[in-house]
Order: sequence, then structure tokens, then C-alpha cells
Amino acid sequence: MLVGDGPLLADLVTALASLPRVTPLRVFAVIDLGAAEGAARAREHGVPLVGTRLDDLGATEADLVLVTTADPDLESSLVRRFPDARIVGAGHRALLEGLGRLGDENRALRLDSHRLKETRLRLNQFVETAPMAIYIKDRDLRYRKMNAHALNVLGLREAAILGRTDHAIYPGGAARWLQRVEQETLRTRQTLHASGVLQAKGETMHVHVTLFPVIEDGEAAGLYGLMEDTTELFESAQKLHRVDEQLTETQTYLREVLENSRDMIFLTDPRGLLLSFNSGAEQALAYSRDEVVGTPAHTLCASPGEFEKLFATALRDGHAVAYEAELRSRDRRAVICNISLTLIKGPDGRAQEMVCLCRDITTRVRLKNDLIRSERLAAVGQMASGVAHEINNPLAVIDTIGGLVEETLRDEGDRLSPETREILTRAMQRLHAQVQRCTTITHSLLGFVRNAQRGMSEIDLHALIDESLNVLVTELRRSGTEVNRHFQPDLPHFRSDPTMLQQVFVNLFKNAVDAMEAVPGRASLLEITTAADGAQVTVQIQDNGVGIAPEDRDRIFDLFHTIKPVGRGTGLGLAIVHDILFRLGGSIRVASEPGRWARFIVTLPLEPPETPRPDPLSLKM
Amino acid sequence: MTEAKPDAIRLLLVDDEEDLVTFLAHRLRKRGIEVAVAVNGQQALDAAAARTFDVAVVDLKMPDFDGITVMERLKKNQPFLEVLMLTGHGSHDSAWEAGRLHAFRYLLKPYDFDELHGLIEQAATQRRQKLSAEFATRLADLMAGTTSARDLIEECDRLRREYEQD
Repeated sequence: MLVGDGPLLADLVTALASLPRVTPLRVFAVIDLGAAEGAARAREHGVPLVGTRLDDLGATEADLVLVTTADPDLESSLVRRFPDARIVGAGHRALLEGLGRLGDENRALRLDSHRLKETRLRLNQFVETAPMAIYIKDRDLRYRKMNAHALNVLGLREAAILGRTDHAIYPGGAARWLQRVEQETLRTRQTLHASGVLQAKGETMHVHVTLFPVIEDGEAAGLYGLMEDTTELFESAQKLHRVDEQLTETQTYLREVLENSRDMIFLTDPRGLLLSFNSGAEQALAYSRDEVVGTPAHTLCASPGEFEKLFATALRDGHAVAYEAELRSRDRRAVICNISLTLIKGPDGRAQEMVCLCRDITTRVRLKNDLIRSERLAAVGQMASGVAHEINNPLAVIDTIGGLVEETLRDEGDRLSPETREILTRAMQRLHAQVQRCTTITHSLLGFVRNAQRGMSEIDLHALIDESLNVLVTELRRSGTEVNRHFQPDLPHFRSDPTMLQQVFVNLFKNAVDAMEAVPGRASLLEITTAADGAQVTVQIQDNGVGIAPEDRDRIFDLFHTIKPVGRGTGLGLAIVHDILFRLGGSIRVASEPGRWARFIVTLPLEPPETPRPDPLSLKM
Repeated sequence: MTEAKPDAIRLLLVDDEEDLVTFLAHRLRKRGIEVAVAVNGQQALDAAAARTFDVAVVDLKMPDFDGITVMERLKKNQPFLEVLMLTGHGSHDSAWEAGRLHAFRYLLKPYDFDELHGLIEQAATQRRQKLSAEFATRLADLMAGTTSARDLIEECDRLRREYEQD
């Protein structure tokens, strides 16, 4: 930009125009402030003429202003007008000096340009060899360069892309996406980031691009593109997401399995406080979740100490199993369980939770115990019958000889003194009586073996109970027992073995009488209650006798376990009762308040068992 | 000691318990029964080979043969013999077996002597009744089937000899 007037301006324009080889300064506009000469010369040299007055400059900016007049007003207005421009002084000489200085400055600029070239070169080298995908595009978004890494990653040849736009390389969607963000970079002249999808080597490639605008002369002349292949990252993120989904699904599934399992499953914290309680546990133990969560798990156990020991073992070893432990339901039922404890550790290796899995094996254990009892009874039956046989033979001899002596005394005893005859006769009678006593025992031992003759028929339970009471009419009368019958009307008849059932009831009634006789001074009261309950009938036999101590309650059905005074009980009666009921598909339970009452609850099925229970007593001896 | 009369009951007493056999035999003889004794199965079979018995009292359990086998073999040769089984054992299976093979009765040891005596008499009476009935039937058959009087007389003699043993 030259601003001036008269011939001086014309000389200056000529000088500058003739010096282009020396200085790269270019005159790009002239304002002639007074003489047409400058303007004419400007036209001569192809320099645009802005106008002839300073006002004509308008918004034009200038880096250098040469002024040839020494008019201070003009100078100061120029300074105001172009605060950043260099105003070169007035007068011809000053102008030339100014030009000389300008030349020096230009040389320095050329040096800078050389450095710039070196920098560019290095930059190009860097771009070419950098282990990242880099490309360069011009302002029309045509590829100017793409480094080896990028070509490799994208599977392209440089010759195939130089001078081309993305539309020639990628399918429509990918090209449009890339161009959009690149155009945005050029427009805003700011560094931008974007993620998208390209097609490379026939496959989908997820990329992240960083775009740097190249600014030349204040305008975006192109851009650098930095491209990262994020496919793996994307896929692993996807995979992670999928894994996460599967994990959630598995967790949901597991939770449902645990929740709906019929086994009892609960979680506790490392102190043993319940964290969860599944529906299986709710059902088996009759507690609701809310009642027990937060309470110690050992309170569910019949013997909390044992559970705590087991828990400590699991804490130490990571796992512990109790094959037969007893839990207590809310209604105080014994639930026999196989308990398995498994410790769950946190990522830090510390105890986090305890999984308690309890399988209800009550029925199995009961059945097993019944079988054991039954087998034991069979073994004892065999032994008893063997013993009875061995004793019966000598008893027969003793009794025969006794009889012989007795007869002889009767027929020929008159040779003896009356006293001798008398005492011997009595001795023989006693001998006979004692043999009878032994016989009663051995025959009763054999009795339950002989009674194994079975026959199923229609049972009228009430009639059968009355018959059984009739058997004991003497005992009932002697003990003054009052019998109260609470019979359910229209109790269904069912099929069973009447002889065996009678043995059951006679035994139970006899026990009741014995128990009540053991409490002198209390009026004996025997209460018999019958009821049909679904597929079974129950008979409750309650006496107000001595009752049964808790420690005896589980054992009274065991063989040879008697709680009667010595000589009164053989320990066979209830064992036989238990065995008979087991074989008939029924069961017996006992409840008692020691010193006050005992209650036996007999349960019989309305349908006899499909497959008869093992019948060990009828085994051949 | 023996008070056996010509129509006395002929009894075979079989038991491996010698004391029992000795004293029971003595007491039964005192009641007018003709008693032969055996302390094992073989002796019993030998005795029965030589003589005919009305009733046998047999112990169920003996070292050589069990009572059931003894009864079977005795009855093979003397089909009208009535057998009372004695047992110290309560096994109903043996009892049932005894019943099936027509033991007259079985008695559990130690038995009541008077009951045993009574049963022996009942058994003997039953045997005699069966035997008479059988004899009468056979005779009737013979008479119906034979036309020759001489044959009839000979057959009658043969039949009488057959049963006269008893």
C-alpha cells in the first residue's frame, strides 16, 4: 500500500516495481492524494488504485505506509488510521533510508522462511514415519499426503488417493461423515475430534479422527488428519457390554434358581447374621424373610453351638458340611437337614458372605431310622425265637419231671410222712408255677413272630378300638380308669390288618394303664380321639399318667428301651407297635408333659401302601 | 410199670431230648399208653419199620432229620398214623407246613401234660375211625366187585391180615 501525492509517489511506485527481485515487497494498492501522476504510474505497473483521497481507503488494512509529504496532519491521521502499520518518514532521502531498512528486514524474513522450510521438511518426515495414521488435505479436501501407516491401516495406495476426495475412496455414508467434520474444521479453523465408521480392506473400521486446520494467510488452507483405528477398542467395549448383559442374565437366573429352590438357601455375613432367606427356607421353617433377616443364623438350629462350630470351620476352610443337623421351624418342628456352608471371599480375599444350603432330609432320615429299627427288631426277633426255643426244651423236661414227681406223690406218697408229702407237693406246684412264668415270657417272645400272619380286611376303627379295650377290661376295671371316647362320626373305613392293629392298640392302652397306675391317688383318665385328616386317620391316645421325660421320647420306640419299673416292661411292646405301624404304612408320634400326661398319636393311611414295607418279622427263622 | 392193655394206644415218642423222652414216656405209660421211644429220626423210622403205631409225637427240630421229614416218612409206610408235632419254636412257617401234611396238631413246648395226653387219645380215636371207615369202604368195594365167594373170602382174609397188624 502506498499513500502519497504528486510525482514522488509516481517515482516510488516505479522504484518499487523495478525492485521486485530484490525485495518481495509487493505494492497491492495505491492511493494518490493529490496528483494524477501517481495514479497513472500505478496503473502503468498494474497496481490497483484505491482512490485519490485517504477516505477512499475504507476498511483496507495496511502493514506498511510510505508517506512522502511532511504534512504532520496527514501523518497523524495515518497513524490513527493504521495503528499497527509502519509509517515510513517524509522526504525523499528518508524514503530511501526507509527502503534500505526495509531491505534488511526482508533479508531477515528470508532467513526465517528458510527455517520454516526446514521445519516443514522435518514435519513431513515426521508425518511420513510416524506410527500413526496421518493425512493432509487441501482446502478442497483433496488428499495431498497420506503417510505409510495410514495407507497400511486403510489398505490404500497413495497413487490411488492423491488429489482425490473421500467420495472416491469410501462408500457414501463414510465419505459424507468425514467430509462434514473436515469442512467444519476448515470453517471453524479449530481442532476437532470425531468418531465414526469407515470401510477398510472390506471390513468395517471404527475410527477416531483428530483434525488440525492449516492456517495460511489467516485462512484455512487445508488440514492435518490424525486417524486412530478404534475397532478393537470398540469391539472389546461391545464385548464387555455383552458380557455384562450375560452376567446380569446369569445373575438373574441364579437368583431365581436360588429363590425358587425347594432347598433352604440363605446368605449370612461373616458374623453369621442372615442377609437373605429364600422361599424354600420360608416354607420349610415357617418363618417369613422379614422376621429372620438380620438375626443370627444359629438361632434356626436346634443346637446353636454345633452350628457355630460348623460356621467357624467354614470361615477357616472355605467349606463345611454337616450331614445330619437339626433346624427348628417357627412352630418348633424338628427339620433334619444336610447343611453345607460355603464361604464367598471378596476380591481382597476377605470373608464376604456365607452361603448356607440346607436340604431337608427329615423324611429320609425318619424312613431310614424306621428301617433300622425294623431290621433291629427282626434281628432280635430271630434271636428271641432262638433263645425261646432253647429254653422251651429244658422247660418241657423240667415240667414233665415235675409232673412225674407230683403224680407219684399223689399216688404213692402215703409212704412219706404227711409233712414231707405236703412240702414236696407244694414244691412241685411251685415248680410248675415257675415253669408257667418262664413259659409266659418265652411265648411272648415268640408271640410277635407268630403274629406275623397277615390279613388285610376292611377296618371299622371304632369297633376295633372298642375290642382292644375289651381285651384289657380287667386291667381297666382294676385301675378304675375312666375312658373317654372322642370319636369322629362317620370315620371312613379303610383296609388294614385287624390283628396287627389290635396288637397296636392293646399295647398302647396297656402302657397307658401302667403309666396311670404309677401315679397313685390320681383318677385315671384315658382319652381316645379319632379324626380323618385327608388321606389318613389319626388316633390320639392320651393318659394322665407319669408322662415321658424328653430324653426318653425319642427312644421309647427302641427295642429293649423301657421306662417301666424293672420286671414290668420288656422293652418290646412299643418297638413292636412302631414296627407294625411302619409296615402298615402308618406312623406313631409321642408328646408328653412329664408327670402330667402322655399322648401317643397314631396315623394310618386310608389307602394301604402300594408296595408293602419290608416285613422283616416274617423272615424265616 | 407198663400198664398197657391189649387195646392200648401204641405211641411212638420221638425227641432228641433224652430226659424228656424218658420221663414223658414213663408218665404216658402210667396212663396206660404203650410207648416206644426214639431220640433221633433214624431210630424213629427203624421203630416204625418193625411195628405199627397209632400215634407219633415228634419233635420239630432234631439233629438228623427235622420233624416234618420224619412225619413224612412215617406216614408213607403207615398212612393212618396220626402225628402230633412238638416244638419249642414259634415259627408259623413250620406249623403251617405241619398242617399241610396233616399233622394232627402241633403243640408249643413246654406243653401241658394233660392237654398232651388228651390230644394223644383224640388222635388215636381219629385214627381208629378213619381206619374203620377205610376198612368198610374197601370191603364194600370188594364185595361189589367180586362174584366168586371163594375169591371174596380170600380177599377178605388178605384185607384182614393187612389191617390186623393194627
